[in-house]
Amino acid sequence: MQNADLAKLLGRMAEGDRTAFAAFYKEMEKPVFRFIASKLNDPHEAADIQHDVFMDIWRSAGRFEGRSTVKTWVFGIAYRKTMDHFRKHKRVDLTDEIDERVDDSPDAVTCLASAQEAEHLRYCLDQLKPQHRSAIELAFYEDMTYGQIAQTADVPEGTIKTRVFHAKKLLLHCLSARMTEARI
Amino acid sequence: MTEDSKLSKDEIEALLVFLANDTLEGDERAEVEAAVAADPQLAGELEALKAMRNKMQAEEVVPSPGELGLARLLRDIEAETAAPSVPVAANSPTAPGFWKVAAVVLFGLVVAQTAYFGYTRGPEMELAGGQETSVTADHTIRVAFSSQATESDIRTLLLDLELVIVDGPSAIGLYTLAAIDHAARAQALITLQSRSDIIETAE
Repeated sequence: MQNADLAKLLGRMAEGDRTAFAAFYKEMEKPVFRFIASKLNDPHEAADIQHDVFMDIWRSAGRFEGRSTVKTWVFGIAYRKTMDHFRKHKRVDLTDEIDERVDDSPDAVTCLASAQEAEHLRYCLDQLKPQHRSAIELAFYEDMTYGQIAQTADVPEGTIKTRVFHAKKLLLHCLSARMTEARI
Repeated sequence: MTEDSKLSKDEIEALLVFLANDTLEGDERAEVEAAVAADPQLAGELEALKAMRNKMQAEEVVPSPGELGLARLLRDIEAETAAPSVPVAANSPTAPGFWKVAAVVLFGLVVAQTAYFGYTRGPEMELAGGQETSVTADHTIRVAFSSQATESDIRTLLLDLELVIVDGPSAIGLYTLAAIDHAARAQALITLQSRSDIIETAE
C-alpha cells in the first residue's frame, strides 16, 4: 500500500471509521510487530506494546499532518514505546556510548559468508544496543533513508549516521569473529 | 577518498548501509560509489551489508497477534467510545486515577504518622502482635515508586518486607522507607531492586 493510501485510511480513522482502522492494522501490523519483538525476546510483552501503539494511532490519527511518511510516523510511535519499555523494565544501556576497542577492519570475505548465516546474524544483532539495532533494522527491514530513521527516532540525522557507523562496525566484527570461531 | 571529497571517511562508512538498501541519492550516492570503487575493503563491506539486508528481509516474520490483536483493539476502542467523553478536571474526584493517587497519599500519611509516633516513643515500639521491635532512621532506603504501581501493590510489598514509609514524597517523588534492623534493610533492598514493576529506584 502506498503512502497516500495509508494517509487516506488515517483520515477516515480520524472520523471514527473502524473499517479503515482494521485495514490500516492489517497493512502495518506485521512490520511493526517484527520491529518491537526483535528487541524484546518476549512475544507477550511485544504484543502489549503493539496494542498500545495501535491504540495511540487510533487516538491520534487526526493529528497526522503529513510532514513525514505514514510509515515513519507509525514507526516513530513504536520506537518511543519500545524505548520507554526498556527504560522502565530492562537494565540496558540506552546511551550512545560505544566500545572504541573495535577499530581494525574485519575481513570482508569472512563477513560476507557469516552474514549469510541467519544464526550468526541474529546473534550479532542481539549484541547491539537497542537504539543502534533499531537504526540497522529500519534501514534493512524497512529500507528507510537515514532522514526517515532520524524522524522515527526523533534525533538529528548526524546521530543516526553515528549510530549506523558504530552498529555496522560492531556487526561486521562480530560476524567475522563468529565465522572464524566456527571454522576452528 | 579523492581530494575534492565532501564526506569524511566515517560518513562514507556510515552511508554504505544506505547504499546497501538503495536509498542513497544524488551527490552522496556518487561520492560513496566512487569511494567503494577505489577501496576493495569498502567494496567487500558493501557486499556483506547487502547479504545482511537480503538475509533479514528473507527471514520469516515472527507470528504476530494478527486477528486476535485486532479483536482486542476493537474491543478497547469500543469501550473508550462508550465511556463519557466530557473532559474531567485532573483534580476532580471523578478523574481517572484520582482515588488511586489519593489512596497512596493517604496511606503514606498514615504510615508516616505511625512511624513518627514510633520515633517519639523511643527506639522501641510494639507491634500489634505484642512483639517488641524497633524502627530507626539508621535502616532507611530511599525509593521512587513506578507510576504504574497501584496502592495495593505498594501496600502488599511494604507489608511483606516489613517496611514503613517514614518520609516523602520529596520534591522529586522519593520516599524514605525504614526497616527494623540492618539485616532486614539489606534483604529488603535486594527485593525492592528486583521489583522494577513497582519500584523505579531503590538505594
